[in-house]
Amino acid sequence: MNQEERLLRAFHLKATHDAGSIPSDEHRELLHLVSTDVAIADALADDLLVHRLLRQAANGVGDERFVTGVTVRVKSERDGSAFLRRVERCLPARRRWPWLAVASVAAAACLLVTLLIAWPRPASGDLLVVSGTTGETSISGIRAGTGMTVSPGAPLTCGADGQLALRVGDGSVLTLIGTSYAEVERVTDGLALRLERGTLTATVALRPSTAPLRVRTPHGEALVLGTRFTLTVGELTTLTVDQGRVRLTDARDGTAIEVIAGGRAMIGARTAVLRTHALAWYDFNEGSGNTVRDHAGRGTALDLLITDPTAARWLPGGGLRLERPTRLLSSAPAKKIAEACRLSGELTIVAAIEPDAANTRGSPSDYPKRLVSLTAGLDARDVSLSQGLYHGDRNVLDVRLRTSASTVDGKPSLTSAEPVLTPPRRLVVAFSKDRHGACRFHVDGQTIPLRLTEEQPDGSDRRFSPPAATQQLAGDLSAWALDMPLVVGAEREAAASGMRAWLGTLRRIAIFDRVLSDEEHAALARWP
Amino acid sequence: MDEFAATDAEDAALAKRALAGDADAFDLLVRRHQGRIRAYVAIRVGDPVLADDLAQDSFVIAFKRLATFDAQRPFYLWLRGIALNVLRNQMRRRSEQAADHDQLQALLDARLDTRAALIDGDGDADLLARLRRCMEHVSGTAATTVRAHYFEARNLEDIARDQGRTAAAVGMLLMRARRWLRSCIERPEPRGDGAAL
Repeated sequence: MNQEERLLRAFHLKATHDAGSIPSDEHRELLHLVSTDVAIADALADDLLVHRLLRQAANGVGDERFVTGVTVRVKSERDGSAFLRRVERCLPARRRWPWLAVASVAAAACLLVTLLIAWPRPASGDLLVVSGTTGETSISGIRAGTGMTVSPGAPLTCGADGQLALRVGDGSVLTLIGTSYAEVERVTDGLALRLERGTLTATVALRPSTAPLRVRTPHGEALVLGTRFTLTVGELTTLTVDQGRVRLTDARDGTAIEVIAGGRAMIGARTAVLRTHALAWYDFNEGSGNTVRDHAGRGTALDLLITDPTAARWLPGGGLRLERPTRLLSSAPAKKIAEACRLSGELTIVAAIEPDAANTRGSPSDYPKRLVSLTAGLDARDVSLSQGLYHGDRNVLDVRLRTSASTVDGKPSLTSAEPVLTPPRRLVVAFSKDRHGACRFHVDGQTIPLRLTEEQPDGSDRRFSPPAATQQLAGDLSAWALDMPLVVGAEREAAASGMRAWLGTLRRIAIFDRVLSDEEHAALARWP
Repeated sequence: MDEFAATDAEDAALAKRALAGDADAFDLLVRRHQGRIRAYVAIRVGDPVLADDLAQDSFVIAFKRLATFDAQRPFYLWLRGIALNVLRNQMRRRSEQAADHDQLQALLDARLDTRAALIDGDGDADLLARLRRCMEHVSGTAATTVRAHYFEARNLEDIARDQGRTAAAVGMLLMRARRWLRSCIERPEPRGDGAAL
């Protein structure tokens, strides 16, 4: 690309970034362009400069009001009058009158306004009135009707077929849609609502920064100055912004993000958020039947079918115990997993398990015992997370990962330096590989040392590399096959004798096309 | 001659009068410098409402500290130094609250500071006034699009529908318009036709 093409590329990427929809690899590309090419950084900075000047020019606060606001504040500083600070919002455009006369007239006007404000009713700018209702809706238990005024503390309910629209004095419109429960918390010095559950869509008129619209949810808070957005509350709080900006604050730790037009953000329990990022997510909460549902937020659900339901037992309180050899086979090829990982070059598999002691009593050739695999059969796989080594240690964690530099069976494999799967033990194990080939194991959220394992010519012994927190695997995931199923608990063609079957309790399995942060590993390390 | 054209000597005299209690004198100082200070703050703070609040804060602080103003120095530079401190305090408050700090935005903000200084410098650069003058030379679709997006707060999809274009095309048109405006505000007087964008 010549320089002009690079510049156009940078502007295109910036536009996508500003729309809130830039993929991570393009974000990295943009960051690289800005940090390495001064001309591009200057051009984007100049563009941002003009953009902000245009917004300032369009702000609508006139020069006159700005000047008057400053001088009134200065006067109140000088004579110590706090009351005069409130005059700044009421002063008309400056006339050629003596300053004191102007302030006196305006002060009198503001005194009147203040008295009216102090009267026990909402300030006129934040008067809430029902502007429309359909289906089942109520305010304080009374059926909602057009024209009804909504007071602070009034609970608002909306049935599954309902819609309740509220108009604010400044022209903003807030609409509850479907099964929703909300409460007006405050209508003075800003407008505050609590959305307990359901969906709120809003078109909000531009508001001063001292009187924003706040919508609190069980998970955090959205701060709105003037925009169009939709807030949905269920297991998570999901914010979608159509116009303007909304600041969303996470109640757990106070972290805040600004979501711009075209953007979307979610807050809530970390595992709930992670589930929306996962390619596959199984909680083993079904309690009965021979199907394990995929609850991942991406792609078509890839449910697992228990080949021999009599060999497995659902546990009260959650979990599936594999008591005899069987396998869980995906209802379709795991294409969504393979495609995504080929694209990203990254993979994370997390499994919350309780291995059975029987796993340590097999024949030496009956290892590794397959826990989670994308596999076509004994000698071909994209990945397998397993227990034990062929004619080797039976309690280590072992991973075979097919790369463009490995065998089709994913050798050399990666093995935990220590026997972490020694029963009895509940634990959460994880394997991850980043796009640069760095591989790690986590157990209960903590990294553990691992080794590269290579099969000896006689097939029976293993040569290990020195243990390290990270091991490098050459190649990428471009060689992954797209037609292999997801198999849990055994090899794909497990015979009746249950070749390489893994026994124990399955409590959660999750698969991602990226590496997880330490915080995310810690969130998933808690036994469900 | 512009009633508010500031000279350093006049500013010093006004500051002296304001310090002695002459409210009109400070009023005039605000009028003379509000454009530049508001622009200085606005291009460093994304939110225009916040930018005005911070600019007002800067003048109030300047009034409180008027006694520290050195009449040998240009009043605008002294005032701009106060605005810079107000901005730094605001950025510090924001960085304490913000999560997921956008490295890209940080790089651009830092670069923007340098680029803005090239225009602003020590000269009489009222960026907002220049921008408004340059806007008068933008016509046709470019002017309509800029007005719709910034002054009517319409999003790209709405504008695209009206114009029979894609949102991406509207975005590129706005980008070209901003590039032209950028080169225009750098010159003392606008020239060229902003319609050919």
